[in-house]
Amino acid sequence: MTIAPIELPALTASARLADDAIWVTLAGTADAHAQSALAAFLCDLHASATAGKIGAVEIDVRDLIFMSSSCMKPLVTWLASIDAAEDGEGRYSVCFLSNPRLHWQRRSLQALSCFAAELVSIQQ
Amino acid sequence: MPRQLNLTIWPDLNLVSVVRRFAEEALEKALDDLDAVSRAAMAVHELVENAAKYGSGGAIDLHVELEGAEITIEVTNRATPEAQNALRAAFAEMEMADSPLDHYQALLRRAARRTTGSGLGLARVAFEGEMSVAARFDGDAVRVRAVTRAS
Repeated sequence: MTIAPIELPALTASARLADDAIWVTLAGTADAHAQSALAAFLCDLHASATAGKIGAVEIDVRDLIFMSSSCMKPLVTWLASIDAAEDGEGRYSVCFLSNPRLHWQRRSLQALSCFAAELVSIQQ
Repeated sequence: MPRQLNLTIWPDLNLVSVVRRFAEEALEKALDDLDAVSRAAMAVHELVENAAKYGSGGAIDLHVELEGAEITIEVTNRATPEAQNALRAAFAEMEMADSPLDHYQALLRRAARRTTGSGLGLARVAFEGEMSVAARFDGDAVRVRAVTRAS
């Protein structure tokens, strides 16, 4: 599995494989500066999950202080890719582990989950 | 007497998060409603980021006002005629939608297919921010105003 981490001053992202799932951690601030890096990261993530026939991606955003709409786009594109895939061909569940103290997450993650309601869940 | 925060910044994407954090911390000192603070901070970020990305240079003016429970955020910047027309079109589309939710969901679906930009900022302010949003055009200046209420 090759998913290059994001190591920007304001945003970090990493992924590891464990128990037929890919565990992703996003931390910091995802704003316009991070858009390209996040898009590339999610592209690698989807490719790895598809190649490995992964069943689930857990994405920990408890330390993601803020995400602007610039970075919602790559997330939306990623979720749309999953939703468009056939079973066993890049289709897997996504669970966001969120932080209830970050109020924006409740609204934004709920909006994103509407994209692929059968695949996306949110945990606090 | 309304409480005000006025900031003039140069158009630099590096400053947008700085401005958001400053506005958020200032609002936290004034409001008990942390959800309203979060919504307002998000709106500050989105509107200032739009001004930095799509403005034609020159200063960006941020005005945040608290009067009672009402929170007003205004961002003023210079914009080319093309950028102003794009903004008018975005508002026209927003006004035609059945609801802020419907508009936001339609833009999220569209954003997945776009190769550049997201077009989501204003719709996010309206829906997630629970704000009424309007724009005023005066020569080469654009002022976007978002208003919401704290509980």
